[in-house]
Amino acid sequence: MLHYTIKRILLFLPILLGVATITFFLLYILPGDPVLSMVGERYDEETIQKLREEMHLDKSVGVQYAHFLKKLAKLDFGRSYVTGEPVWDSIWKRFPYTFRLAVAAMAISVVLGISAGVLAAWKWGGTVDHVAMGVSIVGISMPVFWLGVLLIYLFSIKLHLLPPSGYGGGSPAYLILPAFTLAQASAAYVARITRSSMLDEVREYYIQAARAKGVPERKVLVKHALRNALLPIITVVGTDFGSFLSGAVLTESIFAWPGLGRFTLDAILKRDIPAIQGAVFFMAVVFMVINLAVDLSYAWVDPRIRTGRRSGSE
Amino acid sequence: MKKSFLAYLAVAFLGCGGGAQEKDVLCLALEVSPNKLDPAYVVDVAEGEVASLIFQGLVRFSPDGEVIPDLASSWEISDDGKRYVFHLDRRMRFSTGRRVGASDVAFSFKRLLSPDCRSPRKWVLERIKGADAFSEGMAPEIEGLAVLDDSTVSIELEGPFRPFLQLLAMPAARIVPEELFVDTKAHSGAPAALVSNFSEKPVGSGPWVLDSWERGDHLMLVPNPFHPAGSQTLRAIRYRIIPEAFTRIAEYESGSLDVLKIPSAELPRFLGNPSLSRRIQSVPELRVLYVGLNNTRKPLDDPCVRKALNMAVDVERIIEVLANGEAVRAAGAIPPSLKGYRKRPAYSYDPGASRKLLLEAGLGDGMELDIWQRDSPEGNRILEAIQGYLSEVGIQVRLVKREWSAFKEAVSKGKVDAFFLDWYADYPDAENFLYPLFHSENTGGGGNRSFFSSAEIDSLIELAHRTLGENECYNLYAKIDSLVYEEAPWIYLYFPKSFEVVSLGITGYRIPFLYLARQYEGVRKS
Repeated sequence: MLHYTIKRILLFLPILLGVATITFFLLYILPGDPVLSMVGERYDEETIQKLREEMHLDKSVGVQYAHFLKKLAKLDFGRSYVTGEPVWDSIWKRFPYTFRLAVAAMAISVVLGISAGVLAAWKWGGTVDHVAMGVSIVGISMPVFWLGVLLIYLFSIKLHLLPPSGYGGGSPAYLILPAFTLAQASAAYVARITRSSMLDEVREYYIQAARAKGVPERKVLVKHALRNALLPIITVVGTDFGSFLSGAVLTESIFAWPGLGRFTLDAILKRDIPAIQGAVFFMAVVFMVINLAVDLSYAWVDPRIRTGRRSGSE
Repeated sequence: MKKSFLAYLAVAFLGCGGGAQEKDVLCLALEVSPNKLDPAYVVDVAEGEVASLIFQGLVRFSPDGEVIPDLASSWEISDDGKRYVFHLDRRMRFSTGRRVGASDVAFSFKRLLSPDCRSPRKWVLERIKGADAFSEGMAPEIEGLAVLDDSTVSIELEGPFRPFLQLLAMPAARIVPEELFVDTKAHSGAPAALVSNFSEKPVGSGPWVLDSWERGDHLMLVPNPFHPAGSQTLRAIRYRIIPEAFTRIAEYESGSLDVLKIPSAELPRFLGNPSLSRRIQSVPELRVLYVGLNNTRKPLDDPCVRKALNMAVDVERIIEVLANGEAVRAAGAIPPSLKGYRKRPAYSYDPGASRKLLLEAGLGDGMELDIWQRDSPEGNRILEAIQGYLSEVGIQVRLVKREWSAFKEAVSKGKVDAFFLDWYADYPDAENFLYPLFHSENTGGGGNRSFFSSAEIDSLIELAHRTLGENECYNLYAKIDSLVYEEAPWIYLYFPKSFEVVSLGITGYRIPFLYLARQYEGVRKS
């Protein structure tokens, strides 16, 4: 296991180099001049030229790439063109906001999704199943910005129960609407995956054996079937968590949440190249770490993976 | 290491500081987050508004747009309009407690113009004698700038320039404390470059001090204890960064925002609600909306074609439907609230005459036109209407959306046929709507993005710069505006109005003529 983990971590390096290189060349190809984002509506060519020289944008693409790689080797993305702040500082300042939102959204997604999925599988073919799956289809299909706007309208403007937006200095009331908005699609998907995975399991002989032994149905479902149905659920949850941690652009914009998603969007709109490169690199690391954690958790959930045995090999 | 990372995650989840709403704190919203608050680098409206609260200039704008004393309590202007002597108000202090001296003024101006500073706004001071030589590194001092004594500064211009005082009221000409910029370069005689954290922790002598700044979330300003104005009745101003219009409205309606700028699409709903409409204030914006036509591209280089485009669009109807009738049709670039504006007949909506002009220009078979825009609700609505009107005279319009920097690059380099843009006054003078927009010196990045070029207009604008008599000068501006309008370098649209709704309990609030004039003096929140 340790050997596998080290191998996976070493694989991070070429992947990160690839991500950074693709980001560099994409930004080079895209139209738009970062210097023009810095100077307002009225400027003179001389100032533009001086800024371009200072930012090495007057050099050939090869020289710029070499300069970029040199800085990348030191994990230094430099300072934002727009704010002048070191890029890593900005990312570390924004990440806590995103982390908080992601954890809350994930908790909602897991609790709601798995409960609804288990319930639907348990009452398979009945009203509960149909309602749960109907709601989940709506959840998957509903655009985030639409749900966000509806929730603000209902809970803030009409019912005056929750604040419409902002971070509110960390008050949990401010977290509820954005977390729920971010979680909805994921929760709906987790519910569907849980249900189908559970249905596969409940048809297995060991479940029938457990029932025949007189194990209570709730225990059969939660302890036996759910545990074995967890692998695909973990995969979905892990991927969603990775994407939540990379910043949720729409949710963060609607709810004026100062996280990484808005930081990245602002950077893209202003062609703030160091900030975009730093943000994309950070997201790549987050995704790889989450994926590694998901893979390692398979072994924890399923002893067959841990011991290298395959199902049916005995 | 592991412990500290876990502690970081724990803090990340449990809370990141900041504060909830408080009493006597005026809560306002900004659409975009300011990037830098160092006056030398302030370029947009959000930055300008906040920097104007923190820093003082020699002069500033009153809520009516007049130039009034700020750091300077009085000034004299020589008869030839070239020499200005400013006497500083000796009561003015930076938020550190130190008195603002004449050397701070000289330092701030030298810093803005210095080659090391690379300020995009050095044009604000470039009319000072010797400014060019200094900013190119050819001279160690600015010839026209002199400190006469501890509280007197003299400025000599290359030539008379009537709106010079207004330039001095702009954020770029605000005064910073010299000691915060001293580094090794200062000893070599050159002003130091941007001190990296000055923008994060700006120190000025304005009525407000930056107390905290969470990027992307909020800025909190508290009164400058050393400012003599003494009319600050608020304990703090809290600017929240809220990018979405819907969210800003929701924040206002749930009572969390004290002032809301009403988006034009929402205006009928607000005006139709009696309890809200009583609290709505409006002011004509110093802004003109237009579709710039690239005057160097065929067939748009023909004034008849440009006039035909103006006659093909029913601007009155666009104002009625899309601006709720609350705008003034533009028959020139100078807004109605500025001296130099003259009411003149606009191009009449006449598709038949438009088609005839196009036919005479050899465009009987119609033409294709790309209009570039950056994505904005206002632009989308207006351009879709224009697209419809132009198709009626045989012009097939393709709307090209680009984000701001790609848009600006293409438009400033003259790579597009036409583009939708607005021009917001840097300072409230007709000159700011003529020289940047139509003088051939400013083609491209300078503001003249329609690449309009006329030797006659250039010389008239230059003459107006030298004309000191107020009436004479504004008559000249009116004449220039009229001559340019006859050439139809743009499809002229309208001058919009700005509407703000103020929450119950706020008294003394008034929308200023210009965003730079906001000071929140006498505003109370009960």
